Amino acid sequence: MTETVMLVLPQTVLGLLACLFILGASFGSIPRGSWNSWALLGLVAAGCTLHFLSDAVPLGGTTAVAVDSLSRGFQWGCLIIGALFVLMARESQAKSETAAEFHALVLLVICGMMLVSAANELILLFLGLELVSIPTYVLLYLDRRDYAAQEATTKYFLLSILSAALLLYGFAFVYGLTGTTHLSVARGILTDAYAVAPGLPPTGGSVLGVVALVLIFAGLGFKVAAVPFHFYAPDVYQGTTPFNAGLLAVAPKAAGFVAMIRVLSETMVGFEVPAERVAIILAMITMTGGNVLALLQTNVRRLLAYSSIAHAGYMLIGIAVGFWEAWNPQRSLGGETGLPGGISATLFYLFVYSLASAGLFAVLIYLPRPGRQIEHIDDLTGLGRTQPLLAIAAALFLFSMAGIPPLPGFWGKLSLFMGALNVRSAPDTLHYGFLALAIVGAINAAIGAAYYLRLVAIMFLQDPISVPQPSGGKPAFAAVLLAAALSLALSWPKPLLSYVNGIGERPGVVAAGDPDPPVYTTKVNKHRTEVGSP
Amino acid sequence: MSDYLPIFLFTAVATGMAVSIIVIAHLIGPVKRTAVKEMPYESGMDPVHSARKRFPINFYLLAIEFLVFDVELLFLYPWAVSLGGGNHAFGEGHAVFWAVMVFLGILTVGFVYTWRKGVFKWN
Amino acid sequence: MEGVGLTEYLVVAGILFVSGVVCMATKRNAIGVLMGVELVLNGANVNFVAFSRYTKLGLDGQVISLFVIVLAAAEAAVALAIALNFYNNHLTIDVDRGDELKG
Repeated sequence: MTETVMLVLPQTVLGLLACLFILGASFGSIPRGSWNSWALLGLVAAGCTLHFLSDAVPLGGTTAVAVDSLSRGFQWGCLIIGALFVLMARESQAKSETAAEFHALVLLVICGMMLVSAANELILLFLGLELVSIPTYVLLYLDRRDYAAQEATTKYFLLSILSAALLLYGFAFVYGLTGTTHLSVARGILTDAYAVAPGLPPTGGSVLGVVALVLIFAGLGFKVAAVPFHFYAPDVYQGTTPFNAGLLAVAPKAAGFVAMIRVLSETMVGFEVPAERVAIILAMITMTGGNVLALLQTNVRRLLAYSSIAHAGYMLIGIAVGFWEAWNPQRSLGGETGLPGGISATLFYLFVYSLASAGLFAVLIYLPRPGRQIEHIDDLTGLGRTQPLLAIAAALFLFSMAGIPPLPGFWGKLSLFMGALNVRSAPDTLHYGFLALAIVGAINAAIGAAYYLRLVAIMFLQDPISVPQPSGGKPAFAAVLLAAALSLALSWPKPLLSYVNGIGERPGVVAAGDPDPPVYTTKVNKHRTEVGSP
Repeated sequence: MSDYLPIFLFTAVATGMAVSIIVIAHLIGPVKRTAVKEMPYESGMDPVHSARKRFPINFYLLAIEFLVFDVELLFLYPWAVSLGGGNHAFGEGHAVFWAVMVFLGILTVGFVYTWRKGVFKWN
Repeated sequence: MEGVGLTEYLVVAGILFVSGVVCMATKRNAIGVLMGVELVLNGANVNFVAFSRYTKLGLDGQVISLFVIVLAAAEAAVALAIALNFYNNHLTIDVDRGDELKG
C-alpha cells in the first residue's frame, strides 16, 4: 500500500494542492493574483517528486500503478504542457473571483492525465479519465456564463458522460474475458490463451474481446474526438474561452490516446487484427473528415477544432501500426530508418501537437482586446505587421501542424506515415489497408497545409485592418515564446525520437510468467485456474 | 464471419427487447384521460398550486450535497465490515483505515467549501 | 433460480445498455438524458457483478461497481448543477433549445 502511494506521489502532490486551493478559496484571505504562482510552484514540486521517483524506483513491477518509461515520459509531458497552460491563464485569472477554484481544477485535470498514464488497473484508469472530465465540465462553466458557453458545457457533458458509459461497458467485457482488472495480468492471461492456439493470422479470438474492443474504441473515440464521435468538438470550442478550448484540444486527447495504448495496445493480445481494422477505418475517416471540414471554417476556434480532429486521425495511424507490430514477428520497428515504431510515433506526435496547440491557443488568449475574443479568421489580418514576433510564433505553430520541414510536426508525420509504409508481409489484404492509410494520410497533409497556409497568408500578406490591443498579458506572451522555443528545439528531433523509441521497445508490462510476482498479482492468479480458457 | 454471429444475435435481441418494450407499452397500455388521471399524484393531497412554483435554490444545492454524502456510505459500509478481518490485499489494517480517512478528508474539504460559500444559510 | 446463469444477466445488461442509449438519443429533457446515462452505467455494473459472481473471479468486479455508483453520483451532482444553470438562462431544460451554436 505504502509503496503504491509512493508511485503516485506526483499525482498526490497535485491532488493535495487542489484540496488546499479549495480550502483557501473557502476562507479567502489569500490575494487572487497569487494562486497562479502557487499552481506553478505545485507543478514544479510535482516535477521534483517525479524526478525523485525516477531515481528511487526502478522500472517494472506489477502493482496497480505501472512504472514504465511510458508513464514517466508521459507525465513529464503533462507537467510541461500543464505549466504552459497555467502560465497563459495568469493574467486573466489575476482578478477573477474564482481564481482559486480555476487553478485547483486545472491541477486536477493534469493530475488525472498523469494517473491515466500510470494506470495498470481498469478502475484506476477509468477514474483517471473521469478526473480529467469532471473538472473540465466545471472549468467550461467557470469563466463564461452566456448562452453559448452553457450550451457548450451541456453538450460536452452529455457526450462525455456517454463516452464514459461506453468505455465502462467495454471494460466490463475485458474483465469478463480475463477475470482480472489488472492490465498486465490480463495481458499475461490473454498471451497464454493465445499461445495455446497460435497461428497467423490471429483469428480474432472470442466474441467478448471483439465487443470490448469496439466499445472501448467508441468510448475513447469521443475523448480523442475521432470521426464519427467528433461532432461536439467544434461547437464546444467555439462556445467557450480560448483557454478552455486549448485545454480541451490537449488534455482529453492525450489522456484518450494513452488510455488506448494502455488498454488496447498493451493488453488485448490476440485481438490485433480486428483492432487494426477498426483503427485503420477510424484513422482514415477522422483525418479526411477533420481536414475537409476545416477547409470550410471561418471561425478560428472552429477551424482549430476541426484541425485537432484531423490530428487525432494522424495519431490513430500510429495506433494501427502499433497493433500490426504487436503480432507480427517480422516487425522492423522502423529499425533501419531510425524512425520509431507505431506507438512511439504516436507519442512523439502527441507531444508535438500538444505543444503547437498550446502555443496557438496562447496566441488567441494574448491577442484579443479587453472583453472581445478572436472569432473570425479575419481578426488575424495583418498580424505580421502589427505584432511581428507573435505572428512569427503563430506561423511556426501552424507550419509545425502542417508538417513543413524541419519543424517537429514534419518529423512526427514522417514517422507515422513511414510506419504505415513499413507494414509489409501482412498475411492478407490488410497490407493494402496500411498502404492506403499512408496515401490518404499524405493527401490529408496536403489538404491540411492549405488551410494552415491560408491563415499564415492572412497574417503576413494582408494589410492590417486595425491595431490590436493585446489584453492577455505578458505571461501569455511568454507562454507563446516558450512553446515556440520548444518547438524550434524539437526541429532537431533525434533526442526525443530516440526517447519515445525506447518507450515503444520496452512496453514495461511484465508477462504473467513473471518469476517473482508481487502479492497483488498472486492474489489474482489464484483465481486464474478457475477461469477456463477465454 | 461466423465468429461475429453471436454479436449480431446479441445486439439484435437487446435492441429488439428495448424497442419492443417501448412499443408494446404504447400499444397495449390503456389510456384513460380523466381529471383524476391527469393529476400529478392520483392519491394523497390535492395539489394546492402549480408544481411550477419556484422554490428557493437552497433546496437544490442541499439536494446535490445530500447526493454526494449519501453515496459516500457505499465505500464506508464494506470498509467497516472488512476492517477487522486483518488479511487485506492492500496491506495492514491501519493502512486501510487511513486510506478511508483520506477519502473522508477530501469529502470534508468539499463540505467546508460549500459551507463557507453559504449553501447552508437560510434567509 | 437454477436456470438463471451468466447469459441471462448479460442479456439484461445488454437491454439496459440499449435502453439507455435509446433514451439518450430520443429524450430532449436534460434530466431524461441523464437517466439514460444512468441506465448505461448500470448495464455495465450488472455486467461487472455478473462476471464477478458467475465465473468466480473474486471481488474485483463488485468493487468496480461500487466505484461506478459513486462516480455516477458525482456526475449527477455536476449534471444537476449544469441543468439548474441552463434552466436559469433558457427557462427550459429542453436541450434542443440550446441552438446558439450550429452543428
